[in-house]
Amino acid sequence: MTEENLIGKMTEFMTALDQVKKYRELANAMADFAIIIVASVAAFAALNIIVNLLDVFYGYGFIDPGSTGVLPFYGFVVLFIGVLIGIYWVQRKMNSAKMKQWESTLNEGTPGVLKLLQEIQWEKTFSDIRFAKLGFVLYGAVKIMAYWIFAFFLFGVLSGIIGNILHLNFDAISSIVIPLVLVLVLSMKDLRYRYEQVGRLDSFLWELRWFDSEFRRTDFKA
Amino acid sequence: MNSGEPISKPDLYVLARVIKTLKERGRTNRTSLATSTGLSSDRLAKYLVWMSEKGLVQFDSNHDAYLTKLGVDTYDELVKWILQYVGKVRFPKFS
Repeated sequence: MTEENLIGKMTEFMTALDQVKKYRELANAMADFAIIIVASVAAFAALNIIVNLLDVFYGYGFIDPGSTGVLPFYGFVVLFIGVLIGIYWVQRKMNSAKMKQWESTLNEGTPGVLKLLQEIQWEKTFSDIRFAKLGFVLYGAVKIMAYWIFAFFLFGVLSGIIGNILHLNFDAISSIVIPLVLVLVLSMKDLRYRYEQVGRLDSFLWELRWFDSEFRRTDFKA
Repeated sequence: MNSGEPISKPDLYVLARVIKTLKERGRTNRTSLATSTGLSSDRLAKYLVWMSEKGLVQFDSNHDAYLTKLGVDTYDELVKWILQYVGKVRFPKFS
């Protein structure tokens, strides 16, 4: 066991803490994401009201006379842009987390390790991990919901086209359930990834709790 | 040389920096040691007195400090001591 081992182990330690920082940002951005999705749904509803009002004032089929697929198409575009902006916003927030700020301190060797360990705010770190876990799960759920809303409108457009061509009609339940099942199947990889990451955050929390109680409460006797 | 209260419980970070510098440079005068460790001469003096009392450092006729065998061993023990704890922690590989 040498100083190099210690630096290597401490690099792993700090990298894991950096990841928690990133997930903490994700948790913070989750509320923004939900607001963006709600705003895009509201924009769609507003668009719907405006088109209906225009129909009332200027006659039925104002935008595209004879076409019934116009409104769902606009809704689809508005929601698509909303989801894209939401995901971009979350990624931007996550990438704004300052990483590897500890590198220069760690380059000092063992003294740097001691300094980093002394400076870690343990209670805040534990709370960050718990918050990151929550944010990670909720973000996954909100993202699936956003995809679902988007898929619901896409399904509406597609079922309209298919219905016109093949004279098939989908009932309301199918219009809700089929997009949800499709989104869940397509998000399976993401769901598994989230499940594993939450498990890792959980085990990290327990490891750090052990470290906190063992290391912090002992004294080095020179 | 020494002013104010003596050190009762040294900051491990400062202690490790002083020992590491002495380990790397060998005999070092106080000014150079203060510069390399980033300590004020007063604070460094207190640490050197404490370390000397513990047998970690000694001074030659020019008052230059050097690390004793105990000092070298203490540094290695310090590394082992931290590793004993940090080494046991299993860090998750976040992908």
